[in-house]
Amino acid sequence: VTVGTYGVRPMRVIVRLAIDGITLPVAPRGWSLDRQLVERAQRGDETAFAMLVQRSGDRLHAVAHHILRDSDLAADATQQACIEMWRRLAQLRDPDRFDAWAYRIVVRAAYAECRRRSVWRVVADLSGSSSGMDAGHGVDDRDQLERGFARLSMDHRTVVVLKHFSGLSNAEIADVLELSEGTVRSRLYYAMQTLRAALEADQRLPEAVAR
Amino acid sequence: MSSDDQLERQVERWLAETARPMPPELLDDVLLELPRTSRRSWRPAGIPWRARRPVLAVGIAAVLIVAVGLAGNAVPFLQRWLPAGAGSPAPTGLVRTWDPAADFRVGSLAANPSDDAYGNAGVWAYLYGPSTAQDPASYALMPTFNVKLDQWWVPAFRTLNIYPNPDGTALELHSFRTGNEGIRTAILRWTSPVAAQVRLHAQFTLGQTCQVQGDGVIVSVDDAATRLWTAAIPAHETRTFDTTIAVETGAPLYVVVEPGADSNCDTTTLVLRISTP
Repeated sequence: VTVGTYGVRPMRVIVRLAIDGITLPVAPRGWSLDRQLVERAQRGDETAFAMLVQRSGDRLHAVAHHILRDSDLAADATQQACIEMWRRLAQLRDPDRFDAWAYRIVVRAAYAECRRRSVWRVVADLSGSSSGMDAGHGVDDRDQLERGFARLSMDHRTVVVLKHFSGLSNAEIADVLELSEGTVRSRLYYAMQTLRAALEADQRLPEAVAR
Repeated sequence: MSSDDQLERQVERWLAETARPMPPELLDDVLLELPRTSRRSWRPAGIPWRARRPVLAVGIAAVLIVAVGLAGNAVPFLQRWLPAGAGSPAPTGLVRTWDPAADFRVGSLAANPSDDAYGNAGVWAYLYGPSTAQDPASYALMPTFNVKLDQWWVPAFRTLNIYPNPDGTALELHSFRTGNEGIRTAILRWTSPVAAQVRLHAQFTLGQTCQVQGDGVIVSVDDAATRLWTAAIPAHETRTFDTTIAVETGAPLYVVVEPGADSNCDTTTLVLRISTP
């Protein structure tokens, strides 16, 4: 598998800074939100905000890293997202929705970071990789998913991450990404089909070698 | 289960297993940025994290060199002006009470173990344990005092920390658990500076309100070899332990907080009083 660097691909999701006034989705599973901390941070308590970042930072960074597939870009995106959260926190109307609001900001920061750096990394077509054939018998599901996931576009990766890592519903993803639910469903379907194809392709490789 | 469901479970598992936690340095960098970042400001956030690291390292090194130099000059100066006997133990025969929240800022914030209010060195220690086993030999000192967060913490386990509550009347202990990195307990140690009967009063409260409330925590009070008391605390509940024990000088008592099956909403508020009769 080879990694190449390509030019900027057009972003269909435009990064907007107008965050207030938008209906936010309910909290996804797996989050531990302390409403009092959010309220203290909204009043300008830096220590409370720091603790919010400390508690939610891992998940936000993981989302950025899954979307960007690059540790340095993910770190920069997370940093920018945290600073943006501090600037905009007073505009968050419902502290109970801090986590979904934070997801929205980190996704936007990931897109902005990708666009700013003008790089886009994709893994080359698996079918053209002789190393994939050689490694066929030893490749486990993790490697197959890794390759399949890297072949997805950023838009498709984002919906997969929000759905299957953050636990958002289709409606919530649509809200975070400002897309229609139909578009979210379509992207999810395409992404999962691509992942399935990658898994099945890898399963076929050993059979082809055996023949 | 359909093949679609199987694929979804497979993807969920893979995403969870390959999730990268936030680098600890990144949290520090965000905190450094906050005071210069106005909510009303639209100016750029500054140099990206990656580019700023070497600049920060040089800056911190310079500040440390200057601080060490100043401290060296200041000690003889302060010694001339401080009253004689400052920092010495209180007279014997008086009732003494040890309160970790009150003592949190006694002495140097960078010291772990740290002093008590009577000037006894190394009375309090902020520790963490690698498992739920009662094994003081495996406990380690929390390595970092985060000035911005006002807490002892373990950067490698982001939310593993001990800090005073906002009004300084109690300590808050936060243990750690993830699927990949396992379990870490948060531990407060009191090392007795006296040989006496002491009354120990410990009140634990799990008072946070969270959207994902979790399964609560398990707390324990141990001496060097014995588990004196343990209790499971569900969300929004309080447990109290009150006892009188004989301690020797240098004998440790441990207050241990375990995360349970998850670490959601596990911040445990501890009001601890240890007093001589």
